Amino acid sequence: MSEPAGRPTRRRRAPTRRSVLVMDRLADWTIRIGGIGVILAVFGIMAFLAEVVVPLFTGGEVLSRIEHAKDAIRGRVLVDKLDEYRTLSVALTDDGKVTAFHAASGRAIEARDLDLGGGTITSFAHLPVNGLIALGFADGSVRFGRLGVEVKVIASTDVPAGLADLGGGDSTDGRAVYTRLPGEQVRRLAVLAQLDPPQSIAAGKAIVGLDYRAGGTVERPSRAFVTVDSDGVIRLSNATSRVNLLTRQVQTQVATTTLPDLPPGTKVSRVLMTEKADQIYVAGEDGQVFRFDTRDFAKPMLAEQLDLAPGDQKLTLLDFLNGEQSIVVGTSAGAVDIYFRLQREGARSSDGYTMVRARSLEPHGAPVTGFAPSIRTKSFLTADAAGNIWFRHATSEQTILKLDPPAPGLRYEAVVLAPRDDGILAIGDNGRYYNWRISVPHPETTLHSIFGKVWYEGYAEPSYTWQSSSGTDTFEPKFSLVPLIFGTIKATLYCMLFAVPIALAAAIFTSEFVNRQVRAVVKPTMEMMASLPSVVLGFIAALILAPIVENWIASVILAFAAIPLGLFLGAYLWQMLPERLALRFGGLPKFALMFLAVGLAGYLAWWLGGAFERLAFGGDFKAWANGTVGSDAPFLALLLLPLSFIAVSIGFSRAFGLAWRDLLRALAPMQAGMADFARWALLLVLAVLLALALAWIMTGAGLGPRGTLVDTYVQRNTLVVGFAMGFAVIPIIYTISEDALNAVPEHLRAASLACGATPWQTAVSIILPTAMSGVFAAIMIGMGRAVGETMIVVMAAGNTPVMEWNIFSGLRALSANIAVELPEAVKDDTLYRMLFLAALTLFAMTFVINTLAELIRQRFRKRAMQL
Amino acid sequence: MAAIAEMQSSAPATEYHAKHGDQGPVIEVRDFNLWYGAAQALHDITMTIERGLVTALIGPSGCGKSTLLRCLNRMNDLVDGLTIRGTMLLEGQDIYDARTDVIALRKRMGMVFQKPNPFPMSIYENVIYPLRVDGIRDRRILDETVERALRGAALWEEAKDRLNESALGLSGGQQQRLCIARAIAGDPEVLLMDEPCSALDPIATLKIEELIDKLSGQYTIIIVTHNMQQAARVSDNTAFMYLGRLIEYGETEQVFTTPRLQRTLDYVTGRFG
Repeated sequence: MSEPAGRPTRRRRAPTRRSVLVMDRLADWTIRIGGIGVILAVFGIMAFLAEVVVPLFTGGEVLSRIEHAKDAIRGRVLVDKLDEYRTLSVALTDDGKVTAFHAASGRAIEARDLDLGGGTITSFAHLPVNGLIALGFADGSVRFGRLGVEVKVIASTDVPAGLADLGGGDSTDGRAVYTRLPGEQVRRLAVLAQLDPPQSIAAGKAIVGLDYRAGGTVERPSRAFVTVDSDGVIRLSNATSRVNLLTRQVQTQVATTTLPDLPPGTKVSRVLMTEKADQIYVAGEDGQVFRFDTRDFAKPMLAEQLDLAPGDQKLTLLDFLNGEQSIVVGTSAGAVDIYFRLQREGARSSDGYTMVRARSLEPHGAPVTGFAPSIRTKSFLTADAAGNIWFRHATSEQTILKLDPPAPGLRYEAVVLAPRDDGILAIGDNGRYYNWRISVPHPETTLHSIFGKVWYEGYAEPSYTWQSSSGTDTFEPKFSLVPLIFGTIKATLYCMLFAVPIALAAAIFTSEFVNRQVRAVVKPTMEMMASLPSVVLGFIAALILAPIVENWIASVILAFAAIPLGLFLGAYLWQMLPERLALRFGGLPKFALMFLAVGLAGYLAWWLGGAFERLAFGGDFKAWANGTVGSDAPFLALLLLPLSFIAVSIGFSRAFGLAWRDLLRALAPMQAGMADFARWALLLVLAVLLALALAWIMTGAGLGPRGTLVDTYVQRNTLVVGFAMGFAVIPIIYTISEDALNAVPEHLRAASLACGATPWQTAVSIILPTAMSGVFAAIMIGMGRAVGETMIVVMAAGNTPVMEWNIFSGLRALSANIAVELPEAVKDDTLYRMLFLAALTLFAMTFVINTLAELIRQRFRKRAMQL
Repeated sequence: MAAIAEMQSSAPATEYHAKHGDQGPVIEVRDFNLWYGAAQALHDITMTIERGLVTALIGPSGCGKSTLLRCLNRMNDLVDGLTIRGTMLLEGQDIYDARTDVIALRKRMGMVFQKPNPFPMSIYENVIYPLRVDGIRDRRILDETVERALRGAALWEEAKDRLNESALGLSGGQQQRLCIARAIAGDPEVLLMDEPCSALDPIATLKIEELIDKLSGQYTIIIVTHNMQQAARVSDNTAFMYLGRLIEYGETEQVFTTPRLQRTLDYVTGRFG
């Protein structure tokens, strides 16, 4: 542009000041760094979540392996014990010798041998959990005892002098191993081996099978044991000891009962007894397993017989996993299966239970020879005749570690899993022993065990279950995220069902039907609702709303129909008002009348609740919900009423719409109002009849809502959550969608009205479709809020991780689960990582919802952009 | 109020020399006053609109010509704080009577706005919107209406192959003709046009003007325009408004060639405005 002559232009021509440029550059960089920082932070959080979660799926690793010659051990190893710190190993051989050696160095430690009194050991049993052992002898007697490692922590001043160093902070005086601990303390590990006097069970007949359990109290210890002698006679004995508190004398009474005979020729290879001594499993070498029901001690009976090793296979392993709920079965073909004893209808057993093969694990290539269960988890070791040792987990059905034979042709006499599942010790038949240090932090989780159906111990069938912790070590943790994801979706869905119609109707009302002054009051008020802390909403929902809804459930359900009908009725009555009055009261009184209609309808619903309960729910809603009384039809009709009303209305307007309009036009306004009211009432009656008929047909066809949408009533239920979360979500959806509706260009509204459309027609056919992108975004943002909402679901949802659509049952959402179980999670343990996985899943869900929302929104927006 | 009455009495009387159609008046405006809040926008407008003729409303910006137009189908109802006094009759029926069915009233008057404002729907749906609103679903009637209205708006040849495409894909001139088609689809008696060409290029403007000419026999058209040549070309009668008052209302030719008032002459010759 040319400058007009004669005007001072110096200022404009001066170069841009440096400070301006610097500020501009500075702002540019600040904004850029801020933006990139936000993106990095989001990705950082995601990366951190993923980093915490990944170890759940990485299995395990072998940290180190050492081997030494086992000079001290001579005979065949019956059992080997390892202490919790993997320091001292204690082996019992069939010659009655107890041998101890330092696991890391192989150095022998002195141990007292068991005094067998010249007996020959013919059978052996031990309990990995507490170190109890039982020995059966050729003369028909049994002896009980303990074998293990005695651990004591002593002050470093109490340590004897002149110790020989074993390396790694360990030293020995030849009788015990001393481990230096931080803080001037020393751990002393010594062999614990003791044997009680013999008890004669089968005079003169060798005991070939033996198992036992101990119980009772300190004053009155009891033992139950089962023996099989060389004639195949199975005896169940119950020994109760009484300790005299003064003399410390022990009196023992033994009661013995004989189990039904096995078929002749059965060679017993294994006897197993449950902790309560109510079930006894006797296995023959050929795989025949006999299950005896010994709940009645005086009259034991054979409950079931089944072949666990079909064909020529031999049964080589029959043992309990930790917790004694699962039985691990191994065969000479290498198969490793897990059986549960389950109650089944039509079971071929005499007690209604049957053995079910619940899990088939990866088979070995050679006969299964060794087994060692974990004493803390459902992990276990299996060894095969080819020298492989596999570390497995029963719940996740995975083989986590496969230890190849360290030497060709090696077979193991014994395998031991360290008490903390962090080491494996195996004694080979080649005069050497092998000691692995392993790390298997999360054996129970695989993608399948988290997202798939798992057949848990004692469950009738595979299921999705979340049950992360319990009081005992024998508990099987159930880490399925599916019920939690389901809970989140359920809470969100029911909440949106409640919130979206109300929020959208409110948004349309304020943006299209009220003047600016009313809007200026209503909108900030609604937005203030959003500032209610959700913990307050949850609190109110749980402590006030839930009992109210429970007490007046029939009224609440009735209110869902009564309030809309009340509003409609009010509107039709308004039309019948003389014009003069209608004009005079058109403003605030009309507004107040709407509230009055809602209030009256609510009161009516409350008042008629009892009658409605008698009529529709057989007089007792909870019994009705359980399915014990009443019929599905009335409730189904109520559900179908809106649909049937819409159908009837459409039908009417298709058939008589134009004629009816002309008729109304011909009538005086008041008469037209009456006629329209009459039409509405008639249509409502027709709709009710149609709904009842449909409900009756659907109920007849077995499509009733009970059992799916409606079931047993729980006080903290999804209906309450829907209400409370609706309160949290409505303001968001309302505000954003109201803004979107308001942003529709005025000229479209004008065009529609100028075409003779009513404000309602304009809102529904022009404004709403045009503002769809914003409205959709509002719904999605509300949904995002509902998915991530925590406090309301924690407090009002009951936190039961069940998977059912029942609106009257509780749920547990992912977010609530994280909040509830956080205090139970120990850093880096499985639950801790599972909670992070829940967080990551939540993150992924909101991410997917938002991405989908954005994609759909963009499609809508492209259209709106052209305006 | 006394001051206002004084002002009114002191205001010069309107000069009337409008052409009378053979079918008599369709709209009568009598002593019509309008206030936006406290500001008066229309002063004592009295005029009749002749059936079947094209009436142009001209005047400088802010003279109240659009306001007057929007009062005819009560589009001004949407504005807050509006006060009116006076009478407007459509075929003898009071437009501002409390009992008047506004919706029915608007159906009798099609309206075309300054900026083309097609709905974000297909061309077809745009045209039949007035019928949809009436609840007409008969496909045959709808198809006939679309063809009639689009032919009437001289858009049929251009749009007949893309009826189901979005109306927003049309050019500005086409969009405005679509709006005219929409306005006449409901078969109104009066067509209100609020500066229909102000957002269009000269060629599109020419087409619209030709269209107005073509429609003039069938509909009573009231057109607000800034463009004096346009008013001169398309209208039968012209009303010149200034500061909310109707200054001169007469036969177009006379208003533009031999106006009776100096102020009208000044305006049409471009001396102010």
